[in-house]
Amino acid sequence: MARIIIDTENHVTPQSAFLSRRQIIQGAGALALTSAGASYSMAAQGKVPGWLDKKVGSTVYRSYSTDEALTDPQDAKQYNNYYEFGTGKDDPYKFAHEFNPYPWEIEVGGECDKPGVISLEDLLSSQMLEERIYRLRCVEAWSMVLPWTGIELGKVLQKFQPNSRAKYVAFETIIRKDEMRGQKDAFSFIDWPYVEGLRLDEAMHPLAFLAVGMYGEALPVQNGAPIRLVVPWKYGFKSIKALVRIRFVEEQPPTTWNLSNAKEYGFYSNVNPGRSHPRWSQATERRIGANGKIKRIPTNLFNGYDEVAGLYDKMDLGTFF
Amino acid sequence: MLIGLYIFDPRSLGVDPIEVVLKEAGEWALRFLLLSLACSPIRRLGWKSIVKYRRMLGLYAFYYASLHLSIYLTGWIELDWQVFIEDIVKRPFIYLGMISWTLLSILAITSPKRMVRLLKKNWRKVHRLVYVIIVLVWIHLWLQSRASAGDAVFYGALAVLVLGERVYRKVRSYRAQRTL
Repeated sequence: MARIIIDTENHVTPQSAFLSRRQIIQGAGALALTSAGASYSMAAQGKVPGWLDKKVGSTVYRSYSTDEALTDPQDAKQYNNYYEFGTGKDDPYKFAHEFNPYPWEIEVGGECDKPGVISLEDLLSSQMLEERIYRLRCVEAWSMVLPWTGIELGKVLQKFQPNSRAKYVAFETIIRKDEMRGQKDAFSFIDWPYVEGLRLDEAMHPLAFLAVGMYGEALPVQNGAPIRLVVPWKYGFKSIKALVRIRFVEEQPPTTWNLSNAKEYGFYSNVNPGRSHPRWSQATERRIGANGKIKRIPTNLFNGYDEVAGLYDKMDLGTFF
Repeated sequence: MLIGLYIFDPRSLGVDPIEVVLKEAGEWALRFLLLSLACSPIRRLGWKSIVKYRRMLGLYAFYYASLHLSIYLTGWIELDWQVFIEDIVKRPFIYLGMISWTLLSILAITSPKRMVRLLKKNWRKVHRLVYVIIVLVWIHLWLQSRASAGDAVFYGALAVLVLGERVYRKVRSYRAQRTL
C-alpha cells in the first residue's frame, strides 16, 4: 500500500511547517499532492491494535525531512541496541515477540498541576500525528536515517502543566522480566528500569519527539513499541523506549548509562565529534544507508541539528558532555 | 566459512557484516589460543598425542588474530590513518590488541621446527609469552563489555581453568619437594 505524504520544505522551522500545512489543508481542492516516494512495506504486525495501525498509517504530514537516503526498514528493525532483550544487535528482533505492549498506559507526575495516568489511545486520540525523518546517531558510532511517526514531546508535556519547580523531565522504561529476557541477565551492568532524562527546555524543544510509528507502521517492539522518545541531536541511548513513566523534577534525574559508567556517558550526551568516547573516536560514524550500504562519514555537532545550539549557549560542552 | 559468506552474501550475516566478521575473527583467535593452552593439561590427563596439534592450534590463533586486525584496518576504520593513530595512542583496548598481535606474531615466526632448534633453550622462554598474551587478550575483550560482562566472564573462566591447572601443579610439586 503506497502512502501519500505531504512534504513541507526540507529543513524548515516547525512554525513555518505548521503554516504551510494549514495552507495545504485549506487549499484541499487544488491540493498538489506531492508523493514523496514514501511507499513502505506494510508488514503485518501481530498484536498491534487496529486503531493504532490506522492512525499511524493514515498520517500524511511530514514536518522534518532530509535529503539523505533512508535506511532500509529491515535494517532498522534488525539492528538495535535494546538491552531489555539482550546485548546482541539482533537480540531485540529475535525476542521482540515475547513482549506484548498492549494495552498501554503512561503515568505522568512530579512537579506539575495535572498529573495522571493516560492510556496510549487517549494520548493519541486528540492529536494529529506527523512524520519526521531524523538522523539517529548511536554513541557506538553508527547511524541511520529513519522516518518516525508521532507527536511533538513538548505538546504532550504541556497538557500536564509543569509548575515552576519543574526543571528536568525524567523518563522510565517498563520492567517486565517475564517478557524481556535481558532484564534477567545475571551479568548485566544495568539496573532496571532503564531511566533517562532531559532538561525541561530540551524536552520542550520542537525537535524532541514521541514516536509511535516508523516507516508508516506502528512501532515494532524492537524499536521501542508502543511509544518512545526520539531526541535526534543526542546519542541514541537518550531516546528511551517503551516509555511508561514521565516525571517533572527539580534536580537533574539519574540516567542509566551515566549510572553504569559516568566517565563514558554524561547526562547531556549531545552528539559531538569533538569529544571522543574514552574508548573510541566520535569524529566519524558508520552510516547504515540505503540498500544496506555502510560508509564511514564525518559526524556533525548536534548531529547536524544546529537549531538546538541555543540550548547550550553558556555551557562548556566538554565539561557537560 | 564466514569469509566465504561475507564475500558471496554479506547480507546473510546481518545488518553490519563487517562488525560480525570482525567480532567472529577475534573470538576465534581467542578460542584457538585457549585450545592451544589447554593442550598441556589435556596431555597430563592422559591424551598424550594432543601435543602434536598444539603448534597448529597456535598458528590458527595467529591466523584469526591477523584476520581480525586486517578487518579492523580495512573494513572498520577504512584505512583512515588518522583514526588509526588516534586509536592506537588513546584507546587501551586497541593498543592492547596490537601488542597481543605483535607478541603472537613473534610466536608464529618462531614456530617452525628449524627455529625451535635454532633457539634451543630460549625457545621455551620466548613461548612463555603466551601467558602474557592470554592476559592481554582477555583485558582487550573485557574493556569492550558494555552492558553485560557475560562473554568476558565465560572466556575468563576458561582461561583461569587452563592456567589454574599449571599453578595448582606448581604449588603441589613445590609442597612435595618440601616434605621430602
